[in-house]
Amino acid sequence: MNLRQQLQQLLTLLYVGTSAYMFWKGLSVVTNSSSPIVVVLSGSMEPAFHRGDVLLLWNRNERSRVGDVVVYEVNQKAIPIVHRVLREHHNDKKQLLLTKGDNNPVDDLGLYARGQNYLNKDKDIVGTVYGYFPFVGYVTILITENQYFKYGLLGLIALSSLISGEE
Amino acid sequence: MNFKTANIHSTQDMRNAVDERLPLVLSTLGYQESFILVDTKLALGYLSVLAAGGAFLLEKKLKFEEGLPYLKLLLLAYFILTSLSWLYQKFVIKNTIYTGKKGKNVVTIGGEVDKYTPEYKLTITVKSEGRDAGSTQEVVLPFTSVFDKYGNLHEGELAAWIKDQLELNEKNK
Repeated sequence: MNLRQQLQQLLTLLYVGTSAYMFWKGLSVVTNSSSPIVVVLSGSMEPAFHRGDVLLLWNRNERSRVGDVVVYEVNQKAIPIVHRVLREHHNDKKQLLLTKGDNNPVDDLGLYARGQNYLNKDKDIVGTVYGYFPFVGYVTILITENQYFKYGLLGLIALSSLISGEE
Repeated sequence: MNFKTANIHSTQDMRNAVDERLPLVLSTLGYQESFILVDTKLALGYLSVLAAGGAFLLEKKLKFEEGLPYLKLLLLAYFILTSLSWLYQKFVIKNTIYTGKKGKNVVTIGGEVDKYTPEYKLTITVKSEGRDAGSTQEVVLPFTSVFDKYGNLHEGELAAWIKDQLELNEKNK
């Protein structure tokens, strides 16, 4: 074992992580969205989207239309929300949106930041949904919400790496 | 004596063992290894990792819109560096396992194995500094001639074999 060989092995390992990360970043540049793929976490958009659906976002559209499903982030709240555009007002410079979950009884005013009565298309919207894969993202929900599943999965990975070993 | 051992049922494993001990063997024959090829590859690789690390820092420090121009630059850098590294491996390093120098002679050894044949196909090129045309010979090293039945690599025999090949090469010039 010499230093160069170890550096080479470490590099191979790093490539696995960095290539996935940079692919994700490339996608976010292409779609102009800080988070081009999101997983639906709540049932507020049923029956259109269910928990665990993976949504593909696009954020190069100039204006949103009423009926678009958009993902937005409210200041100081970490979790992005997927809801439908209910009303919109726009002029040449900006567009203001009101959103609502299909499965919610009321619109999203209560979800916005204190004193915020609308979403700004340019600032708050992460992207508009243009495609989805049903249920694929449920793994992430299981990992974040179920600790037995998380440790079980980690255990399985450890076990498989022990068994498969070297070539 | 401390043997390097390999699984005698795996050509890949024996290849790795030979690759690892080859520099040692050639140093006993008076050759000094050159690391330019592998160092260049490592430099390209770690620079691209730096670019990815920069993108990660950017995400932590700046909002998406603010960091976007820098992100584009870093992505471009990452793409160029990894492509260069790939091209370098494919067209410059190819299957080279050793480069070294003794006096004015530069020796380059490339190697390939077939998974189901216990032989190491080596390409040995010897060039004299200042002269362009070197002489290349393609030789086959049967793994049975340097490994015993326990999988121990006998470096003395490997050294003798390499020495013979190098002398042959010298004669054929």
